[in-house]
Amino acid sequence: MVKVYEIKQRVLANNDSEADALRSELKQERKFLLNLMSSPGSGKTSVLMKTIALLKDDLKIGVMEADIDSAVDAQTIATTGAKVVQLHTGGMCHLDAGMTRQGLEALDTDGLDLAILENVGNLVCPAEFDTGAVKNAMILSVPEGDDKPLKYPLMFTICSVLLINKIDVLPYFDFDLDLCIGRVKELNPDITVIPVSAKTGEGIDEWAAWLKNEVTAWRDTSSSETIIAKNKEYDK
Amino acid sequence: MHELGIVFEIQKRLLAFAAGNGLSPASIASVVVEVGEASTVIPKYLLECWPAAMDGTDMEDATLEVEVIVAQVQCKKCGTVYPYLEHDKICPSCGAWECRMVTGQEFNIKEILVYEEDVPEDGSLGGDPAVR
Ligand SMILES: Nc1nc2c(ncn2[C@@H]2O[C@H](COP(=O)(O)OP(=O)(O)OP(=O)(O)O)[C@@H](O)[C@H]2O)c(=O)[nH]1
Ligand SMILES: [Mg+2]
Ligand SMILES: [Zn+2]
Repeated sequence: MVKVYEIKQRVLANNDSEADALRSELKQERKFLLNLMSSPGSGKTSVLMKTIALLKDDLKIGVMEADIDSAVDAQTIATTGAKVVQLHTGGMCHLDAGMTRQGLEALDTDGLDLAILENVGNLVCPAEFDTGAVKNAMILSVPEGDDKPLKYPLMFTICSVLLINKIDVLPYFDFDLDLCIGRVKELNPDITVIPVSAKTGEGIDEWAAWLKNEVTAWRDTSSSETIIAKNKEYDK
Repeated sequence: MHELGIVFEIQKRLLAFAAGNGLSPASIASVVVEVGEASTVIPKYLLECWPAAMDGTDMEDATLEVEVIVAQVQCKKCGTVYPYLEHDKICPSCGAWECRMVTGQEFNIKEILVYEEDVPEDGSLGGDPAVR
C-alpha cells in the first residue's frame, strides 16, 4: 500500500526561512547586507573598489568574496582597507542562507554598518537562493548585450537595483541602453537602474548614494515597519 | 548547474518529513516535484543527479518524479495568455514581447509517496517504534 502525502511547498522553503531568520537578526543588529550578483567579469570587484572609496568615511564596510577557487578578489579589496573574507563555496555555483551566515561569522560583523557579498559569477543559480540579504543588486555589463533580461528574467525580478556597467565602451558595442532599461522595467517596474563605469567613475556617486540611503533607512526604521519583498511565495 | 545542490535540498526535506511524521526514511517510495519551465531547474539534470545523491542512504530506493509546468505568460499589450517558449517569447496575437509571467517559475515538492505497513487500529504507528 502506498500512501500519498500532499506537500505543495517550495523545495527551497527551508532556505527561504533560514534567509528570513538571518534578515531579522541583521535588522536587530542594525546591519545591512547587500548581495551583489552578475555574470563573471561584469565588474563586481571593480565597482566595489570605487564604492568603498566613496563610502568608507561614512560607513564601516566589510566584504565577503565568494569566488569558487581564487583569492585574488579578496586581496584586491583588502587594499582599500575594508575588512574582507574569502568564502569557500566548495565548488557550488551559489551561496545559500546557511553559507552566508557562516560568511558573516567569519567576517565578524561587530562594528560594521554594511556587509557586501560578492556572489559567485552566475545569473542563474544565485537567483533561486535567498541569501538573507536585505537587498539584492545586480550588475549587467555592456559587452554582455541588451537582451540579457529576456534570457534571465528571474534574476532581474529579485533585484532592487541594477547597475549597467562599462558604459565607457558603449560606442563600441551594439547595446541599446534605453531598450535594455525598458526590458528590465517590464520585468520589474520597481527596480532602480543606474548606468555606471567602474573605469571612469561615471554614475558611481549615484549608486553610492542609493546604497548609503538604503543602509540608513534599514538602520533607522523599526522592525515593525520592515517590509521585505518576497517574490517567490508558493502559488498554486 | 545547481541541480546536485538542489537534490541535496530535497533529500533534507524528505528526512525532515519522515522524522516529522514518525516514518522511516526507507519507507519513502517516491517524491513528486513540480518544475516550471521558466524556473532555473533543468529536469534532466535533476533526474541525473538523483541516484548519485541517494546512493548508499536509507532512501536509495526512493524515486524522483518530475512534473513540468508550462510557462504561461499574459501579453501586456493585448491580454492574450500564451505558452512563452512555444511562441518564442512573442505574443501570437499582436507580436509584443512585454508580458507578465502567469505560471512557470514554480519549483515545489508536490507530494511524497510512502509505503505503508498495515497500521493497527489502535492508531499506533505499527512495527517497532524504535526502528527509525
Ligand atoms: N572598460 C571597462 N572595463 C571594466 C569596467 N569595470 C570593470 N572592467 C574590467 O572588466 C574586467 C572584470 O572586472 P572585475 O571587476 O574583476 O569583474 P568581476 O565581476 O568582479 O569578475 P569575477 O569576480 O571574476 O566574476 C577587468 O578587466 C576590469 O578592469 C568598466 O566600467 N569599463
Ligand atoms: Mg570579482
Ligand atoms: Zn499581445
